[in-house]
Amino acid sequence: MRIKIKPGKFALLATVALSYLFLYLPVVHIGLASFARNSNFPYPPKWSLDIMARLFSNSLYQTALGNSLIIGIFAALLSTALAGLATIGLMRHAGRRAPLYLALFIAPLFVAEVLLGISSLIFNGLFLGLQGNMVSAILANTVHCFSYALLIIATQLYRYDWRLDDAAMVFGASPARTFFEVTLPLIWPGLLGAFIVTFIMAFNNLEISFYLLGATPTLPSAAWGALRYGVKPELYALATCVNLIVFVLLAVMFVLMRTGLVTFGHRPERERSAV
Amino acid sequence: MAYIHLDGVSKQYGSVWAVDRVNMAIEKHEFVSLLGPSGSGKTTLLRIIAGLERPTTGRVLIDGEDVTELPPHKRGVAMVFQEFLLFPHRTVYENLAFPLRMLKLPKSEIEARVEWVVGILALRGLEKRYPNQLSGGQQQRVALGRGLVGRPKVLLLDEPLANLDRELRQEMEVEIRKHQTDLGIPFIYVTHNQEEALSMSDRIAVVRGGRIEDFASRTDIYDRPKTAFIAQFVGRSNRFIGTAATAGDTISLSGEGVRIETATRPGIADGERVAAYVKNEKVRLRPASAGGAGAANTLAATVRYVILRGAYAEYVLGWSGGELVASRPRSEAEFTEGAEVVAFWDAADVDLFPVPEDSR
Amino acid sequence: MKPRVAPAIFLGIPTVFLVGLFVLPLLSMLVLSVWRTENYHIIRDFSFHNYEVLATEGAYMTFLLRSLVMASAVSLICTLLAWPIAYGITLYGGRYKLLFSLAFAVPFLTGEVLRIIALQGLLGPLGLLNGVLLSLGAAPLRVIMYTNVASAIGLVYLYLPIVVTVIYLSLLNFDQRLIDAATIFGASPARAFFEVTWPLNLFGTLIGFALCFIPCLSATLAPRFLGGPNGTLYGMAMAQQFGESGTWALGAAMGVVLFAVSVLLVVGVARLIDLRRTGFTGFGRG
Repeated sequence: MRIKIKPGKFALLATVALSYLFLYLPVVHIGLASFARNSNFPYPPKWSLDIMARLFSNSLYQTALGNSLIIGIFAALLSTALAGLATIGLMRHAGRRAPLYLALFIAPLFVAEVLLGISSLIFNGLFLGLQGNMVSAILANTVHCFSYALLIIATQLYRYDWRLDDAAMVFGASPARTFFEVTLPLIWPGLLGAFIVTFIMAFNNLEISFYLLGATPTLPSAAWGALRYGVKPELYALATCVNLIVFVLLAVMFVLMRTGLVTFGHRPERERSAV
Repeated sequence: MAYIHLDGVSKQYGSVWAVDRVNMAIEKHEFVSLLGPSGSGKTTLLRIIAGLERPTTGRVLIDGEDVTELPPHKRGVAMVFQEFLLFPHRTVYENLAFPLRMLKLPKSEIEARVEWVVGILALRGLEKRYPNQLSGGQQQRVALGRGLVGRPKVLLLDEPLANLDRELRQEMEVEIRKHQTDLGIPFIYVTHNQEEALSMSDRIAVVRGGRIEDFASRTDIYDRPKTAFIAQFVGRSNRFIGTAATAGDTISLSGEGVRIETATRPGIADGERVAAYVKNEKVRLRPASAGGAGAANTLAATVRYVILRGAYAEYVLGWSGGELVASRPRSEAEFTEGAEVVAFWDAADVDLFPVPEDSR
Repeated sequence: MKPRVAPAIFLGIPTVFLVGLFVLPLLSMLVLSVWRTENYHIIRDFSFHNYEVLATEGAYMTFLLRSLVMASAVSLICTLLAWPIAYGITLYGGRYKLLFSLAFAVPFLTGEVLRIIALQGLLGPLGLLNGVLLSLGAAPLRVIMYTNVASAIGLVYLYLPIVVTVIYLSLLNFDQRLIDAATIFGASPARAFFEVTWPLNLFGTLIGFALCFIPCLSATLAPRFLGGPNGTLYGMAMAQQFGESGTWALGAAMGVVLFAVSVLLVVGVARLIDLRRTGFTGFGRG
């Protein structure tokens, strides 16, 4: 399997390295810029916290941060719970109709965010007579996040052996007790992973929230508004802060997955024997 | 009234009847095996008793109580699974304590019971380990212990030894039977392995196509098979097919260059196509020089291969009608490959059945 | 457990949710697309007027074609880049595989606006690249400032992570021992790749391609902030109908067009290939 030819390996590794460079160069660049006085070309940087201080004293961004947090948390909670239900439903109760349900559940993946935003706007504004509001924004974000959460939970549940539920029930555990004593302890890393990822997605979403919120700012829409008048160092600082938060959250997830793989890597040797 | 009753139990999946009108009565203290090839419905039957499947029709009674509508956790049964299905996030101790916690027993009682199971199953010192830190045999013991610890009304075992190697399996067979006798609760044991069924059971139910082919003592199943399927499936047999001819109280089968004679059976008519089965160990051998070939229940053959099975030698013989296997104790005279022999058997050891129309 | 209650909870609730908040909005977009907007008012007359405008006014066709070319090119580039990256990570990632793959997710999860801000830091007139060129005394590079090339680079930057992640997951679930089996029976590494690895990961590759193509087709931000005067794409034009121009009905029709093209792509791909020969293992079991 291992390719022994050196040039092939070199080319492969070079592509990998260059793509990481491509992805992280801008991130690092604006990171440096937001902590430097010479923010246009911070090489070498003249360290300063001026830009950060300016960002944090801006009340628009403070309101926007609050709104983004609310959207992120509620959309993540809702989509994780719904996707958890849906995944269990698909694996346990859908039977021959599983492909149909699966198609519906992952369909939002194949619809661009801007279309989700616009169609929800039309539905709310024209057919329900609703003004832009946070609940609509949370629900529309939940639609988008739901499919991603479904996929993340599914990878965890795919490894879960449902016959463990049989075992628990045969030994006297009620369905609810089975879920909390056996199923949940074995699948929670998947649920938490889905929560983290969907939180970040909803938190950072522009195109869905934008159309459903009217004048209420979120962090991305405030940034978008500012960007229309040209890039300012505060925007670099804002992006850097969000990058740092995402980075920390994914680091938490990395640690979880590491330990999760070690502790919960239960995989039955054989498939279910014939009926 | 028997302890466990299956009353006209059927299970339909789509258009397939996985279990078809099964009636069974199992006594307390009894060790019963459900023996059948894969896909015969024996596991479904077990899962119906456990409450993991709901029968399409019929009733399940345990200890006089109709439990058909009860979910598994209210039935007071226990199960040992083929893949063990130990809870991977719980230690051995916690796995063993699980059924007791579900019974809401006091802590001291739980400790005492787990202690008891750890003792009888030689699990001492492993209590704090996780299942993935145990060998296959140890996992098997924990799975068995989890089945016994709650003193269930019945213990269901679903091919529990299928994942173990041969030696461990034979050790566990003795142990499982011992615990069943000691505890005095019924064990219902599903297997496709006739050796396991024969070694442990009081009675064996042979399952085929969702139906019980026969439910009888293990000696009856082995020595007096009721159907051609059982004769073929239980034990290792040689089969001869021919046309029946009755004469007085004997019936003979001719065809393929051998004549087989045995006592007449009811239900077999003159001129009917029949199959005769002779178990491998009932076929005896003598050197060709001793003569006697050509009589009924004898045939001349050549030893093609000799397969040693410890105390037994299996002779694969070639004769004009095909191949024949004779299994003889090594204490008898041995033959080498290529030797000319006469194979013979007693008329009483022949099992005779009509050949069903759809059979080859 | 009652046999019928569980499916109603586990499948019914998500289904109702998606029908109410996903399917109905898309249908309402379809309905609006056959109405009209005049002076910011919606007139509920059934007509295909909006579609006629889209089909006859040259600018919209140009935008659509440009979007299609842009989305195809970007998706192709992303797929071509993502394969060696994902393959490299699975082959040489070792115990840091997970770290490498998560590192690709960080930029993806940062959100489009913030990533475009970061890209402006790289490509913009005052950005890193031109800063380097200027400090070396060279002329700034015009091709990366407010052009279609800049848009394309931006879109690759935005969607490369998702394509890499999808192909990486596909490779991760692919049983590497199959390559051993192929080489044992005489296939060269290259042959083994094209006979076994590529076909068995084709499904994942197509998913990755689609998950890049569809948002690129409807891209609104990258062309607006990175593209130049000749860079207007269909999605961007659509967004304008809901903003400055206030012609919602026309915008809805454009949304329907974008949605239809996306669906056609997915359906076409699904019909073109035999799922069983692409390593698609289905979903769920038992």
